[in-house]
Amino acid sequence: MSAPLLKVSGLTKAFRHKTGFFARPTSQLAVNSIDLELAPHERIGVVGESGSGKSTLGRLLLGLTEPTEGDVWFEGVNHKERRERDWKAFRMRTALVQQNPLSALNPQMTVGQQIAEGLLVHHVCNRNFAYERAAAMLERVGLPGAMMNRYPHQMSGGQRQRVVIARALILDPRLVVFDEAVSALDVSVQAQVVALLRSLWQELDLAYVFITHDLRIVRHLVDRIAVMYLGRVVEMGDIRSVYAWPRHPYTRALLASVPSLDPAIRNIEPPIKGERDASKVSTGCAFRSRCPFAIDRCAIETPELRHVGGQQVACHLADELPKSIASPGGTLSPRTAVAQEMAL
Amino acid sequence: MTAFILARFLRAIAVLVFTVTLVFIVLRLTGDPAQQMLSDNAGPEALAAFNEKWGLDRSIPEQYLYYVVNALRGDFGVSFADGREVFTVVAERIPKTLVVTVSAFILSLLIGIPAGILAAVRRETALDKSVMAGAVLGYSVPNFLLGLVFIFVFAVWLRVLPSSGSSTWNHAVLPVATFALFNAAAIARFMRSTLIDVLGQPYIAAARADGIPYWDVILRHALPNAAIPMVTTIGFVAGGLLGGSALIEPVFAWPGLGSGFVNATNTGDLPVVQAMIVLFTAFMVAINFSVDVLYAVLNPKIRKH
Repeated sequence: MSAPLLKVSGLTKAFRHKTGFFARPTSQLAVNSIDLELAPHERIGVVGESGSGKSTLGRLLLGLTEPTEGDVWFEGVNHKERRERDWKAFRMRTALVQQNPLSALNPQMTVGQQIAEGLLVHHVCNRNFAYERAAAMLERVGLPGAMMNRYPHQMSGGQRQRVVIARALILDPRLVVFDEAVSALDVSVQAQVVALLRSLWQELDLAYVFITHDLRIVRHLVDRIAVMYLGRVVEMGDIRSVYAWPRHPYTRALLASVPSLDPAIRNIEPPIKGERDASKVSTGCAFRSRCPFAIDRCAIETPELRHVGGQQVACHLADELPKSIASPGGTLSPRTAVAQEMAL
Repeated sequence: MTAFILARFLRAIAVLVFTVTLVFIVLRLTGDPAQQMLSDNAGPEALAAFNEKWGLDRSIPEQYLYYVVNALRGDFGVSFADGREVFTVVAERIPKTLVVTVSAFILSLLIGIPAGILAAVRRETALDKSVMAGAVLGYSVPNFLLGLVFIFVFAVWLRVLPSSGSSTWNHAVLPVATFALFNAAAIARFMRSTLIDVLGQPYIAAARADGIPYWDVILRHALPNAAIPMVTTIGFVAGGLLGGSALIEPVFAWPGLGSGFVNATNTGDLPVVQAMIVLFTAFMVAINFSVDVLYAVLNPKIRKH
């Protein structure tokens, strides 16, 4: 692997809240000691339930939130060492695509103004050329250049998300964080946007972090995947390897919950039980209260990420559990694979 | 856009007509002007003569018809109190009220908007907390009470400003200050909460992630969007100016519409009360209409439909 584009070490973010006026503030770890590396032009998926800390992770990577502990390096420079001018340079080389494209666009500005703005504030080119490039970018994401003068409310959801993508890519960034970038779209529109992202990635020197809860979508878009549970990465590895043989009980349950079109594939995974409860987890594995395989050791010792098979897993039992056959990615019959592609 | 403005204009006219009619009827059903104007021991003949003289003995629809026809010609009748034309009685008070309300309004915008912006941008800091403490205080103290406090401090105690009258510019200082502080407090509070709300929107995060400089984000992305709800609030404040003058002007014996309205109500001078309510209503309707038009100008969702 070449020098990493992005490197994350021990990244932790605690949110403090007060339950009442006199209550002592309690803190909750939204992101808990995460280590991560991303090579140039690499694609990583971050999956997990809502509240798993994946969006906070995305904001930390882009320096939109200050970490409580840990470091983020982008192109070898630590966020903590960046001064204002370095941040501006960093912002030119990174971008954010958020979930709901209607609220991610300024309702008072035309699409063209918003796409061209990045070029203008970074003094990349003059106004006329910026609008020319914005129109070209609009066409590149599959919209007519004449839409430059539209306001966001005059477009459909899929068109808006294309605009958000165009705005993110106008400065030719090296890293984009997609935070639930297709989750708010209709399934038919999702498929088009997924196809667009795949072709854009092939053309551009672009690495991205794709944050989602949608396990069907993510396999089409990433090389590697990190599964998060309550702020920690519980499993990470090559997408094919994780989908073929998910080793962490949480990943197994997540993948088993993806409906399959093939009647031969049945969910034989023991269901996970109960609710997520971050407050009770102080020592041991955060997932143990819901884990069907939990043993005494899980309550005492926090499992660290370790290599098991083709991936890294944070589970004491990772190499003892039987292989699950409910995984939709690995044991697909050819028929099902085709059906799933079509469903996308 | 033209259709939108035309529709709003017709609605404004309808509101004006409806309010004038309602007020006309209610004023005639509540209280007897003859008894209020004449002395307590006036005999039944005197009351009857008074009612006949002013047409109050006729049916309400008949009185209403007369009133509307005359009002459309600019004739609002004659004051019961001194027999002068109502139009003159009201018109001569308008400039006095405008001086106080317009300067107070401008002043409250100049104080309230920057204070609210600073509080929102420096949220949770000492600056924010002191601005908001001042705003809560200014907003919760009734404005006539604030006026009395000002009179006590600046006229009675420090003896630097006159307490009542309108003969010099100095006389306007206390009424304007009272009015402006109260309104500035309301505007600052709303400006802060609106801007904080806008700053939490994803497109602000997007603008920051794009590397747009901080004050550009505030000035070009956040404030134009915060302006739309602000227009409503500022409209309320502007609409409350004349009503507020009825509370503040008597405190400072400022001879504007507010004091005139209070006097006319106390003496039962029906034609003057009626004309002033028409004026207040027309003012309120005009403000609301301007707010609607401003909405359309500021909001592309209405402008470009």
